[in-house]
Amino acid sequence: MTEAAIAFLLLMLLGVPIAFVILGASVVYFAINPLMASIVAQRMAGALESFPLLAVPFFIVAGAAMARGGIAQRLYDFADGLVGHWRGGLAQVAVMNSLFLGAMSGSSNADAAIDARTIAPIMRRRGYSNGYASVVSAASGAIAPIMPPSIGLIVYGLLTDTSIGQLFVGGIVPAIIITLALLATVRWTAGRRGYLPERPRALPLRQVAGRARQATFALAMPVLLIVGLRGGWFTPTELGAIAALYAVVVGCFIYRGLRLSDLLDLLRESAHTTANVLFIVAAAAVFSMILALEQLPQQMMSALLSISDNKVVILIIINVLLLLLGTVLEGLALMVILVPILLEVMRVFGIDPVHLGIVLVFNTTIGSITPPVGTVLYTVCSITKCSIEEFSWEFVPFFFALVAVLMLLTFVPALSTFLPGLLF
Amino acid sequence: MIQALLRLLGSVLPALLLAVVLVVIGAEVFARTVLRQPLQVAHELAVVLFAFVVWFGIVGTAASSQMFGVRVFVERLPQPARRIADALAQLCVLLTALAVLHAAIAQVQTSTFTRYLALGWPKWIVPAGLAVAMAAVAAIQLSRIVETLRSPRE
Repeated sequence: MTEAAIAFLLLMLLGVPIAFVILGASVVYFAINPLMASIVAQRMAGALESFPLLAVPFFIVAGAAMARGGIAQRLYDFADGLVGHWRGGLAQVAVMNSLFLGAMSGSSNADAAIDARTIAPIMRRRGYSNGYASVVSAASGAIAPIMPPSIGLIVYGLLTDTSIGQLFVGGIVPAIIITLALLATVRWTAGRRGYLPERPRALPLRQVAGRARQATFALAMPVLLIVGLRGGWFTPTELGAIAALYAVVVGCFIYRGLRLSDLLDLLRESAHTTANVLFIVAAAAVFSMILALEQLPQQMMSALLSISDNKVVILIIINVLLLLLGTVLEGLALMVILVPILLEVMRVFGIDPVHLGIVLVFNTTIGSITPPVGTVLYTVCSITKCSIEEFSWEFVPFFFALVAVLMLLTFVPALSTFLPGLLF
Repeated sequence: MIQALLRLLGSVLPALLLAVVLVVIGAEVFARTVLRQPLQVAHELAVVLFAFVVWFGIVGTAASSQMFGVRVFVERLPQPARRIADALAQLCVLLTALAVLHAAIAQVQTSTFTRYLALGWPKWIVPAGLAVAMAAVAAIQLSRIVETLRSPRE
């Protein structure tokens, strides 16, 4: 196991793609502890032989079709109508826009990349610092993995056998709380820096309503999801397929931003995104087996219980550990690897699986934004050409805001469990 | 010729397979809810094709250098050291891909007698897809190593 851990660290320092870091470390482990020659391929193929996992590419197609089909501009206009008159107007719009985009993409990377490409350049032109624009793009990406449909919650649901419908519904209130916390942070930081509103006064309600009407087809998607799941008519996978077809039809025939000739390109991009995400999941399934073989979940559980048997203390320790690990490991991989350990914690302390899922996904998302390493941090900084140092400095208030929300979600389970309890 | 083949395998094929998966599940929903006649093979077909989307999709992302890796440490190295680190990283990916290819071939050999229940297709096709993908990734890495080592020193 030590050799695998060293290989893991070395490969990561060398900049090897994350999936191959995990696979490389696993290969080293099996070279020293030989099992069946086929074990790596068997685990990888087994990880993907799952019907519910098909929801991931479908929601990726839906998000891409919505973004390309002219919906993104309409959502931006609507977000601008709602919060553009607040201090730091453009940054507020970026946060609000992420709530809407998150309801389509389900991925912090995708959402942060969209913001970094579209809103961050405008922010820079209006006098916002590059670091601030990058941080707002990255931090607002934290909403997407919690707002349904969330790729992270789908994977968690599969790993823990938790209802994906309940997880989706459980994410709604936390996503709104994260949005409010980020809006407040932008307001405070923008006030200190003198970043102005987009306009002196709020738009008349009629104009805001007009912009909402323009974006109706996009805003209807989360409603479609919840109604479909609550009614028990469709599985999340089927809903994903319906959402993807719906987004293509809306993009092609209603908003007319998507041509049929664009479809191959859209599918290619979606297939690549899917492969990038799920190849990591397949690789992590191999590594997770190594942890099981080494009985690490049981050892970790004993170690945790030797520190304290108080649920609050254990939850704090887990959150801190996850935050630290999340800064160096990809969120989904972390989840696949650590879920066996966390399932033990859940069983011993009687934690609600929906609650744990929301906390876990949000925690790893914060990790992915936090320097020195992180997928979202890296994605945004490579687009905006922002240095890690500048990003780190600007990220401080947003980090505290996100951690405060994390603590709130951790210690007030009802925020995640109330709505699923009401609807399911 | 090789570039065109990689493009077909890593970009066109996964895109088309994804479209087929989408249509299959869409048709299954229609058949089940409207025609009241579920498509028996839809789930298995979708799951098998989905695995191919991931296997072949990763070839496309590797070919276009879209796979995510943490390059923050390597980028801080001076140019000559960075070249060596890049070549080493590519070599590690190549060796790992070859190890997975070996495992996939072993898996094909051990699953020759099992079949998907509804489809009737042999189960070895999924690891075979993984083997093809890993062979392609290894080829891409090999060409990258040559490229990195041949690139002029700054």
